Amino acid sequence: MLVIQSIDEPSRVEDRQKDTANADPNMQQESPIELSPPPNPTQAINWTDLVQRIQSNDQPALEELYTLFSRGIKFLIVRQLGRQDIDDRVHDTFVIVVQAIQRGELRDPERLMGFVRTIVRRQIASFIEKNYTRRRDELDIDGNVTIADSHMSPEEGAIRAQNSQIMEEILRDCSRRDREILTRFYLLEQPQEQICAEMGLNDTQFRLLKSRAKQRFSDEGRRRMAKSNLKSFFVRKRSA
Amino acid sequence: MDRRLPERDESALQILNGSHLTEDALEVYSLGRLSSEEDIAVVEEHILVCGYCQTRLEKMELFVEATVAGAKTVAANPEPNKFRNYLPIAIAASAALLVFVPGLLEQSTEPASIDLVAVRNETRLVAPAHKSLNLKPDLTGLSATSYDWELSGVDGQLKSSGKLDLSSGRLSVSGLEAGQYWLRLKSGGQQEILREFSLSVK
Repeated sequence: MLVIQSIDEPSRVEDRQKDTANADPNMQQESPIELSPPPNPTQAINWTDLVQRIQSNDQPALEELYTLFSRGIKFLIVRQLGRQDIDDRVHDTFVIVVQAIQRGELRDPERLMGFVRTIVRRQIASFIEKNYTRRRDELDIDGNVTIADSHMSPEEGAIRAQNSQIMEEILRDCSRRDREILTRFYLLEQPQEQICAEMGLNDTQFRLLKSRAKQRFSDEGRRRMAKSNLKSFFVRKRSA
Repeated sequence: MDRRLPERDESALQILNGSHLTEDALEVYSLGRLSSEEDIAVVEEHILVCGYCQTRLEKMELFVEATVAGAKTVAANPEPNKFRNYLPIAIAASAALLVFVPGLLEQSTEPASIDLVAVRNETRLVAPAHKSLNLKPDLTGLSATSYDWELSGVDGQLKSSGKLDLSSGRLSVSGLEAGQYWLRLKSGGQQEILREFSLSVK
């Protein structure tokens, strides 16, 4: 069974010392709980067969390709460009991938993931270029500029503000030393090796501190979500 | 504390653990500190097809973003309630300063330091006009060995350009008039646009 430690499921040792820096430097890393993540979805795929079927325009193969990659393509594009026109952008990218495969541009079917990633990156660059050109052309035509509002939605803004507030409270609540360690790593972008050397930490203590912060963030987020859901439940009850 | 560029012994970084990305890889990637193109490719190719790791990366990014924002607030105001009783006095003193020392802020020669973030985040960064600006573009997820930058006005006219100083990750511009600007980042020596940032100058 694969043993991992994730944000959602870090080790759940409740009686930890609050100040990691004061923990025994020789302590062993806590044993994370054992999870059984899903298998890698690519392991069961016969890439050569899939690519050959796409080249012969086999509809189930196209659906399989779409199912396999659409969420990931969307994910990478949203990370760079936001959610604006995202469905169109994913569709455009998918069409380009299929056409390129059908033209025989993918020589090694085992490299399909790398091939798709390259096309996604080109598409992202192309979308940025198009946006720039469109803004310039719009200005040339009527002297006015329309800049799409890619600001976050009110809901996204509220979530982001709440998350920031949760972390602020966690940082204020932890010891000065723990706060400095987290600030150095996440805000000041200092490398782990430097922080550990300057603050007398070993690798385990450093990981433990980050893991606890993630756990508290996750727990507090869930707690507030539950509280919010409970509140809206009673509001609905009252208005019903 | 000095602000230093990330350095990491990437030879020690394990990207995959069996079938999935390691927690370290997700964190380093979401922090934009994965500089090896090969490692970035491994992460992104896996992310393309693995919903499980996409969800983990999303959660990691939420945590990183919240931690950076929270740490900024705490760093700016380490003891929020300590001086609450003195707030009216502080406000009055600030107002007096602004009244009796007009132009104090404009005379400051300290460049304004601004972190530019990618489009999916805040895009309405506001910088002061007619001042030296010290801009730091977000290089998260980029892996070029050098970068060229161009700053254009809203009319598409090139205002300034240059090479990004990789040691500081920053670039300097000065004397910008009020208006909307776009900073485009290209891979050095090539014309591929890697990222575009908006900047409002007032």
